[in-house]
Amino acid sequence: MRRFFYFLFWFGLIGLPAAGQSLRDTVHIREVQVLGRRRVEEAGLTVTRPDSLAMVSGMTTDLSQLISQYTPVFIKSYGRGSAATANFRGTAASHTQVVWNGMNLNSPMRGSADLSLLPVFFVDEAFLLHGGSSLTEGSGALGGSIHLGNKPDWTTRKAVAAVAERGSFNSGKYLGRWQLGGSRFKSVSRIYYEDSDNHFPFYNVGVIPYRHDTLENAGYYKAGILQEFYFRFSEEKISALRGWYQQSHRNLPQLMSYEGSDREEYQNDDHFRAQFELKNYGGPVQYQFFSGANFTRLHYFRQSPDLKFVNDDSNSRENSFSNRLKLQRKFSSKIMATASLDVNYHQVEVTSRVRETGYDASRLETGLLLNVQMKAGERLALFALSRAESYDSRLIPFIPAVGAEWQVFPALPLFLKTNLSRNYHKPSLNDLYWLPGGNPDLLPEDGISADWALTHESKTPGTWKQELSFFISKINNWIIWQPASNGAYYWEAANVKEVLSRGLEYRFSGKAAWQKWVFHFSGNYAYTRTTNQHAVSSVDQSRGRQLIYIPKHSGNLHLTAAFQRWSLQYDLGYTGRRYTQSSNEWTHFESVLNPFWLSTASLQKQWEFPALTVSAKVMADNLLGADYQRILWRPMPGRNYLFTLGFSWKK
Amino acid sequence: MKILRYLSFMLIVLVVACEEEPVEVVFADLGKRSGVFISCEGNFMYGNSSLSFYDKVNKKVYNQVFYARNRAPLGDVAQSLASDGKNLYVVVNNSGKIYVLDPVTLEYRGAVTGLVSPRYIHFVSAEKAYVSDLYARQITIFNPQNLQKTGVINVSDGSGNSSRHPTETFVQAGKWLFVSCWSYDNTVLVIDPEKDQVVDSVKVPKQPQKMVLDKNGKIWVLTDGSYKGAPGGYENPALVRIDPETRTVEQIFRWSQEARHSGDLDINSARDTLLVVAGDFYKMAVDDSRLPAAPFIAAGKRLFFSAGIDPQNGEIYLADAVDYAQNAMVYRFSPAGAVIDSFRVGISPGDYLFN
Repeated sequence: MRRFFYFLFWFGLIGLPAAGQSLRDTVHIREVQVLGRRRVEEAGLTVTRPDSLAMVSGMTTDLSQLISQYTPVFIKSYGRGSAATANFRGTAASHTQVVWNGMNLNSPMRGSADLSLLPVFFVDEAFLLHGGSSLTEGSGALGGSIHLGNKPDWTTRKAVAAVAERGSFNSGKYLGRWQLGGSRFKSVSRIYYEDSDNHFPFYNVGVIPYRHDTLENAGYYKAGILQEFYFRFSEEKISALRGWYQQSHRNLPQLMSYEGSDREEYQNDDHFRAQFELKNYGGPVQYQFFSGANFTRLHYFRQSPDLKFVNDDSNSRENSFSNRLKLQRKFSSKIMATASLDVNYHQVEVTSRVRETGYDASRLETGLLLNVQMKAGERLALFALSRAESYDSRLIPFIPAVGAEWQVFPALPLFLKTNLSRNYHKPSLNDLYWLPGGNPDLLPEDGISADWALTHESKTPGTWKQELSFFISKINNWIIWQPASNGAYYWEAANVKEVLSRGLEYRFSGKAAWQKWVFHFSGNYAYTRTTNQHAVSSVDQSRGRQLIYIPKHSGNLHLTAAFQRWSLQYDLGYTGRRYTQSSNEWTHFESVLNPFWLSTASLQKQWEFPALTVSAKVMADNLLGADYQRILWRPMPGRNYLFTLGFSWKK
Repeated sequence: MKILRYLSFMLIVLVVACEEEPVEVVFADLGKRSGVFISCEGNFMYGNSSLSFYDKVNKKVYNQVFYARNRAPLGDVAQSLASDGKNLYVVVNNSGKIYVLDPVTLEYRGAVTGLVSPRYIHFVSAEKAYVSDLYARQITIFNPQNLQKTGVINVSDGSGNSSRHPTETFVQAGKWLFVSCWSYDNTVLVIDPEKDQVVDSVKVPKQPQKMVLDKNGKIWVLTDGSYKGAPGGYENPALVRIDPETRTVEQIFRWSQEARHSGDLDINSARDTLLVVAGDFYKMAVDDSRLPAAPFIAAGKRLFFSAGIDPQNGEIYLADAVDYAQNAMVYRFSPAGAVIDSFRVGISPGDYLFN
């Protein structure tokens, strides 16, 4: 009862009720966390789950904001509404795999996923697998993987939720979700639309003389619809059908130093994703099958409108088909085995109307996984897995990983986890075939990594939890684009670098009560040392230096104080110094991105009526007006405001 | 209390994570010294181009001199340098502007802005200068006295192909001005600078870029041949000799299949020897009938990116871009090829202006 009270409290505290994270869904997440139930299939794995509080708090944001605030993963973002990619443990954007209900969303063309195009509102749960832990779900995630999931709420027959948010720079977001159906069938529909003129003021120190400027050509809109159908044949057998269409139009602003003629530059993205899923949790052999398709269209356009001169007008079409059959068998209460077979096909067509160049390429990938988990004792669990993969005509027969989890003291929830793994990452199709500079002879990137993690939870569920993890990984044949080896003016892809990434991640969360107040606090910190170990010539000063744009230090702190139906939240984020030269020059002060702190404060009030909940929230972003750059010479907004109104109704 | 301790710990960790601010660069007036200004392109869309000065008497290099003097970044891709004796001009390609500086103090005097993708400057007279442009399909005319744009020369061939003609480097031969058209093009245009009009053109191998005028009054053009898979095909890089009188190609010297790509072309002060960066660094007399068989300076593991020839003494400045993401190394060679000095400048040094 007390737990239920806490659930209601937290839901009312921060949750935009309209966000409509279903009662059942939220309970599901909390059950795992509060009871501290150790999942045998997660033994030895380093997993981060943004808690239900974070999911609801970040409901109107995109995935890049959720990840950057609530996990130790660094997000490289080009600014509001612009592209954002994850640098998991100091690795490249393509080394983070983003998976939606088992289907990989990384672009086969570029290798990475743009997290700014994934609204948190469209997912019900998210978790991260760090480093080699990601091998349990797929290969290629040399840094780690981000998993997004949708789950129906079988306890509610009808529910409607809506959120409207208006903010500075003529920004707006509108979210809607409705659910229908009974105990055998559910339909869940979600829509979202957001747009912004994004014409924020900034002090331009990139020109002479300095001046007060307004960011131009930075407006954007994004819109999407997600339709889910669920069929429950029995308590243990469920199938799902999902379709997700999304489109966006993003203008691309110029650097602060630009004083040239007018430029019209934009990028349009269209995505359609569909998937069918069948799960059976009953019987001696549990199985999961899914088949999905992902179609992406990207249009990049740039012209000088005064001259009616089109610099670039390129289109890309990516068609991906994914299939997976996963079988799980419990041999006894102590041994479980998982086997999965993946067959994926990607086809990419790139054309540039102006250059009259492009390529058309396809790839067939297959993968086979065998994973054995064993409870070796009351306090010890082990796993060992091996993957075999093939793509194009290349076979990678052995991608192994082993891990263990040990409860250090019988009476204390203190766990020591470790794993050791080998991993591979395939070159993207651009790496192989882009004209000019694609290199069909590229080798896959080859990594070996190890993790050690110490997890501690309070005896009173939910009161306190912390985890400290150390990692080290070495990646050979790291692919970079560099000027052509024959001296040509264009750049080409090459297996050049050896990168050593090591560091630690710390995260904690907890709550406390005092009289009628309830406090919730959480945070994370990451120390990431990612260095290039390879130098071609003796004058190359990049050896042993931090990779560009990766901060050594980053962290977040979240504090919430709640009193009855009111809640006040404060978030503080820190991003350390980042270098933009491989030699880590920083005496030349335009080459380095200085550290910055960002703080956000919000106040929320909630009103409850029978079957109806209404909430209102005001938020000040960049509360202290920090002057900072995420990307060299790209301005960021100062203090700005958001007002959010939401309601939810359920029956 | 436990909670407070943990929160304090986290705050300490975050505070410790802050590091000191960078050090500023300080230098004296450089324009009075004997040396060379070097523009460093930086990386496209990073906005990290820079200007360096090398004092060849004291063998001392000063980097980031534009920023240090003017407290602002140079911009995105500093393409070229030019001087009319009164001002120093820095063409900042992807910032769409030309910075105009005091040649001694490097103090900002003004800018020509509103350009599309400026590349190189040619001074026609004290009141007229041309700016080539990669994308504008026109050459911009401005007055160096007041930095006002006074007109354009339309260079579009009217074919509907939006990439024609992307103008690049200039060479004056007698009355006529020749300008190469580089990206996806194969043309050298002939301009009448009195009428500001294109009057003729010369077809050359693919992608002509750098040009020089030799002692015989011939124009030499370095073409890079585009790339394999490019629309219109690829061909080996070439050195092309044009007779500006007849406006015809006299000779084409093709680099062999094995030769590395051509990058930069200069000529010595006597105008009798061509100096070519083509992977390695080559010397070739203008009267030679074939390309040099062996490099004058072998690159080894270095990535030779550009070269500058000191008109006073024929010394050679060769830039090794290293990995194109860090400060480059410039080697100073005697005319005989002996190393005199080496020093670091900014990222991807592309153009040299001797003082």
